[in-house]
Amino acid sequence: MSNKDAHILLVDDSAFMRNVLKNILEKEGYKNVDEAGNGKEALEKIKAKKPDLMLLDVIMPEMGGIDVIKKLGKEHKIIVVSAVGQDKVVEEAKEHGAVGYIIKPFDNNQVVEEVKKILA
Amino acid sequence: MISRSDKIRVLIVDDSFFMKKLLKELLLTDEMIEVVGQAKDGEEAVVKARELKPDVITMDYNMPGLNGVHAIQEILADPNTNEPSIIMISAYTGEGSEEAMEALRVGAVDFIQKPSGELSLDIDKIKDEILEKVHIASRARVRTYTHIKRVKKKKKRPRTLAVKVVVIGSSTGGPPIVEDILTSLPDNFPAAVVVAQHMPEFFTNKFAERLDRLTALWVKRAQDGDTLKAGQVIVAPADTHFSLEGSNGERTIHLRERHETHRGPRPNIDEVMGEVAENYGSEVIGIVLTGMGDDGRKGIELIKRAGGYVIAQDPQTASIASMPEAIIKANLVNEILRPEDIITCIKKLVT
Repeated sequence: MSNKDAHILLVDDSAFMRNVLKNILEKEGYKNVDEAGNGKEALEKIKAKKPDLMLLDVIMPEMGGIDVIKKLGKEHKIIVVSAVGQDKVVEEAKEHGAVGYIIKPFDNNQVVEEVKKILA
Repeated sequence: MISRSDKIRVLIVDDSFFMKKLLKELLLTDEMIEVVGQAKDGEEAVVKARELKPDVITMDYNMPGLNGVHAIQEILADPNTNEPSIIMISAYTGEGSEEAMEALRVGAVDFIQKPSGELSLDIDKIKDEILEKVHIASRARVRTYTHIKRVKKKKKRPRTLAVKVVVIGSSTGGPPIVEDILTSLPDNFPAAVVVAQHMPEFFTNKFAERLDRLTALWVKRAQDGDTLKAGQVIVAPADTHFSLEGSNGERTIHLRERHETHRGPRPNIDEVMGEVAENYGSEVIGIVLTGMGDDGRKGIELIKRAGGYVIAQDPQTASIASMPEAIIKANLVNEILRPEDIITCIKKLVT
């Protein structure tokens, strides 16, 4: 089965970072990559349509990544994107149901591998 | 650092008796400063740095025997000093600029350019600058950097218009870090880089020339009418107002005389970053390096609001932590990184 139709939601307050991730995924053939600029926007988008996978920045204003994970429990597949040295946050995210993580700065193939693994 | 008094203890190093006298008189007009000694050459400076344990040393470059850069290296390698912050006093010439840059790499915190003329009667003109730099230096953490080899390479003039821009705001202690970042980027780096480094106008040209020699990128001091191109580094001017104008992906630099009376440090990082944010939107990486004060905070706020990516130098690695701290406290950063990690991050994000 092809997973390239999977609906992927990128949640990051930086449009720059969303573009970087989106380009990586689209180059890999993923066609349905959607974006949200903060936790609140993410929750609204999820209400409208449940994504197959979320890539979630943990540090955001308004509603942080951890709060989003807590709220969504374990019903969603969430990959956490965090910077080096945020081990505590990553642990917390995993406890609340995150299924994978990507540490910045990342190589393109690290992102692709993690996404493939979860969508497989 | 333990001081024997609350005053800033300064050692003056200069081979000219007259210059030493002028500097001493000037420094003593500030009641927070105490001149604890004077040295006439590099060797004497090394001995007195150990004996008198000053907080700050003003160091002339051209002296008989050990020159200023070598004296700095010996003093900073000596475990029996008080880890003094050293301010290089260099001549107001191209050569002097190069010496000042080398001094920063080996660990000088800052530099002051002596007005022209060996008997510097003009020194009163830069009195405020000297006093301010002594105060800043007294609060600085000493950092040393390794020597960079120059790139001997024919460069291709960049032709592609920039889509992405990396903008770097930097102040005291910053030039060696800017050099390290730029020397690590390849000649096919697909973004334009704009550098706003606090320094005197004369120096911005010299700094750009030096960066052009040291890096694989095409570096120039901004000129009115320059277009932002991928693979090009633009060094912002200090004394003129910097703005970007244009449309359809092409952005041209406009430099205008300043009218306002605002007396902040130059170039104004907020102004440069604000222009980049307004013109390049989310396709911007904004970086704030070491420095005193909070120039850059407002500019970074605009970058952040436009969706750009914001990096603060890890304050613990900064000579002066306040500039990066200001944007961290304001909740504006995506990442807090050491200089070497800033390099990795830029390379991975801009492809």
